[in-house]
Amino acid sequence: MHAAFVVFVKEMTDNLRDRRSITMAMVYPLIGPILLSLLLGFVGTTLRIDPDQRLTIAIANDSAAPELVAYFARSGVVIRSLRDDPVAAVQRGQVPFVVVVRERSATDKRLRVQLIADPGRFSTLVPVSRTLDLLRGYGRDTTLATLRAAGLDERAVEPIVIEHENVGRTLSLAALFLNMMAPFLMFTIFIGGVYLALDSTSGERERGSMEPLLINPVSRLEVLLGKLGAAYLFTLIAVAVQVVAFAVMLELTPPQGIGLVDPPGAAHMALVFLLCLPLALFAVTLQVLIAVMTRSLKEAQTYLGLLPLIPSIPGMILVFAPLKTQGLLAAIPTFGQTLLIGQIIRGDGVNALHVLVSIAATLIATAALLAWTARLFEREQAVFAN
Amino acid sequence: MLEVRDLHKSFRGVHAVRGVSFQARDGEVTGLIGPNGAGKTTILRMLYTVLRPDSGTMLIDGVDAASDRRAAQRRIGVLPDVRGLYPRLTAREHVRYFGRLHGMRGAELESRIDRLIALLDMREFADRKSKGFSRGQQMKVALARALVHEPHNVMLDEPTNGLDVATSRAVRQLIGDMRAAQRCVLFSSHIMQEVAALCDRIVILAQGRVVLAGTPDELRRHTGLDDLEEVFMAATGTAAERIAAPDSTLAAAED
Repeated sequence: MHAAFVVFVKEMTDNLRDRRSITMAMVYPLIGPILLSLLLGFVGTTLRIDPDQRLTIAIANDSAAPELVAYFARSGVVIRSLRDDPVAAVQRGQVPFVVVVRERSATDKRLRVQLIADPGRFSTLVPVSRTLDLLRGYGRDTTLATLRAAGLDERAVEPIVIEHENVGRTLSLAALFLNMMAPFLMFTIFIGGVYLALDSTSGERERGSMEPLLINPVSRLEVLLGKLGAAYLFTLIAVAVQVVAFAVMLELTPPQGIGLVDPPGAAHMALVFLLCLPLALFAVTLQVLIAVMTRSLKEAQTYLGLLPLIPSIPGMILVFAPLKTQGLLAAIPTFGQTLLIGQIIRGDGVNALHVLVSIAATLIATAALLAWTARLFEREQAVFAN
Repeated sequence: MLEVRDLHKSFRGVHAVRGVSFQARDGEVTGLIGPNGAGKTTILRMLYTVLRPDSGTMLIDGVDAASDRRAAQRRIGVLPDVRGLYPRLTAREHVRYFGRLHGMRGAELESRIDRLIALLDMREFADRKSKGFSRGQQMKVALARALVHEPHNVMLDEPTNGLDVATSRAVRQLIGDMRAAQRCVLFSSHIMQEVAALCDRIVILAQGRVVLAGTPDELRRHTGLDDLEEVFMAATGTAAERIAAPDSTLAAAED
């Protein structure tokens, strides 16, 4: 195994001097967490329901409904009387939305109001929804007052009372973001060491340095293991950078905005990293297999550029419809990890047997890939580009 | 000592090497010469174990290179056709990498590297990364790493290809020194003057066969030509068929 170590040390020295390898391992993994924290920050501040912040409602023709204005005022709303054209005012962005009080018709004495809003504007979602609640509340209060005045029971007109209880550890919006971590990690695992895996095999063959290297009295399996080891270490660095970045991001994100009840802690993150260890080995072995199998560096680059998408897609779909690990799903490399990592991060807990099955199955698949790669590496085509 | 017997090799139906036999002895410089496409590089690549022959025997100091690849590899030092350096490693790191792969380490390895750097006049660029090296500098690095383990048998594929006059001379001097040290040197070239100046024995190849082999004097006597370049032209050209079968002292083409 001495030769494998010599090759490993050479590849590490060589690639630590290469900006492309370093970028892949240390900068790319930060993109996911940064993107996610920007999204969380944005959504958190726009959707936050701040109990101290008073709602402002612009009302056009407010003089036609003094009882509604009084109700708003009692509810703590800041009222802004609008004299301009309400549609134009919303379109210009002068006010986020307007409640327009219509003139009552001669036949129907009910109060008619029109809500003018631009639903494309994300930031108006919360105030519009609060305004609708207030309008409904006003309608309900008025009805109840009328019923009580007539001596009737309110239960006659309100046959259903809805109570809502969330049993998840996180609210839905937070869960949505947490679910994105697993596909991001899959992407990182398949991209972190890819440059090294390619450059040290297909690239080395294309530059003509594979030939002198393989004239040395070492087995080709040892050469292969040295190169795999270096690509593996770079991948692990990438995964570690991303896991730490996610942990920092969760630490810094204001939890109330997205309803993050119980963010995953260090122990959760450590378990996620543990699940990534065998998968990263599977990923680099697959990358080296493809590099050795293909005829040119360009061909290998084409396949390896698309490869990270494949394990990420199931996770992206599961963001919206998370699955719980069942039976042998854990045994599928990349998919098993996606499910298990999702569960760990959401705080749902995992079955230890599922973790073991995932690790064992991934290692067995890796051994099979390695055997295949080693066989291909004995071919003459492994030495010469043409 | 290198010995090749009845070597054959085809690539996708093209019979590139057709029953080649020759010997390269210790204390001698043997030149493989032939026009482009004659099979020189293919024969060397089989001998230095990166290509497998379809049939035939290759012995390196008596070790069968096909069945005991690693034992054969320990006995050879090779300068391949493509030098193949790592742009981000320094000249010294190249030599050290190959020394370590040969199981050398520590002070012994470092002093060996220093001696090679002095011998090949590499001090000026020894600790510079190889990106941007001239062809001469690249060849010196590749040669130093081929010789780091002091191999008994040395194979050089077109060692002076693309080099300036001074560097070519230095390489010829080095080859002469290795012969004096009783090593076995086999090198390929397509320049007859270079082969004539250096070689104790010459193996002339054409179309995957040995068409003529022997000492320069034997070749002259056999063809009746004084100039070795004329010998080469006669042997590799249309005249090849007209040359009578060489006597038993000469390794010959086996049709």
